[in-house]
Amino acid sequence: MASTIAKDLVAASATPLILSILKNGDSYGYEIIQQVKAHSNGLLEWADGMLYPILHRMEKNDFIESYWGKADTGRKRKYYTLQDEGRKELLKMQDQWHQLYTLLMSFKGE
Amino acid sequence: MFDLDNAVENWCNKVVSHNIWDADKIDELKDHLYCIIEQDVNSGTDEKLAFEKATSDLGYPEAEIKASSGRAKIIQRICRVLNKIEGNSSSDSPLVIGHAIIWASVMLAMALVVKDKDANGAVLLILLLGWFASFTILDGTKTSAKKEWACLKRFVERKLS
Repeated sequence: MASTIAKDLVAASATPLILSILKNGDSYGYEIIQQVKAHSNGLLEWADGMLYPILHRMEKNDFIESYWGKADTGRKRKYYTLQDEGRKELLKMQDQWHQLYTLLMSFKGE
Repeated sequence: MFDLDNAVENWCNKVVSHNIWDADKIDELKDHLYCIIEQDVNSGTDEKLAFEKATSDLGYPEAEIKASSGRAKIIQRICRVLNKIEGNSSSDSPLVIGHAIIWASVMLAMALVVKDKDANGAVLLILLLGWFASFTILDGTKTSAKKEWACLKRFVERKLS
């Protein structure tokens, strides 16, 4: 069984992961956490409380924008949508993560 | 009988009143709380248990909010007396004054130690302890720091004008 991912990596990957999820469509806090859990096969489990400060910071940086909608239950729900700045940031981050991965793998054979 | 909506509402009020969460963002947290509860209830968990688990998952279990409230009460009582003396009725000021009391004590202790120039380590330790006490006893340190800064700015502006 694969070990869980270290806290430092979980924190560093949060922004690109949120941006990637929002690239596929608008979403809200709880659903974002569930998507991360499902896509990582449970390897990456975000604490419920950690997501919102990140989302609010990303909104402040104009990477994402929020709007109020309604859940199926009729409850008020805040959705997030990806902005142009966020799209650019995602490309930049994907490139940086790829470079790091390539660097890491280059040492693997030594 | 356990009233879920009432429990959620009370919890949200406590989270806001203890400066754990901003009032303008509480609806988002409330929705998240309901989502966790609904998932557990759908899989057969009792509503009360699901609520307790959800608040714990969010990092702010009800029991802990009550405990921190007890600690803050002592400071707030002192602050209320000081507020009356100052004629200040602001609801935010107890936190600010609480920090002021702690930091004034820290500074006094520092002044006593600083006579000895080799005591730099002790000074640092006192400052760290002060910061820790301030952080532990009072909730909403960040908010309080912002208000203290605003207060200081107003004071300097008044003095300069």
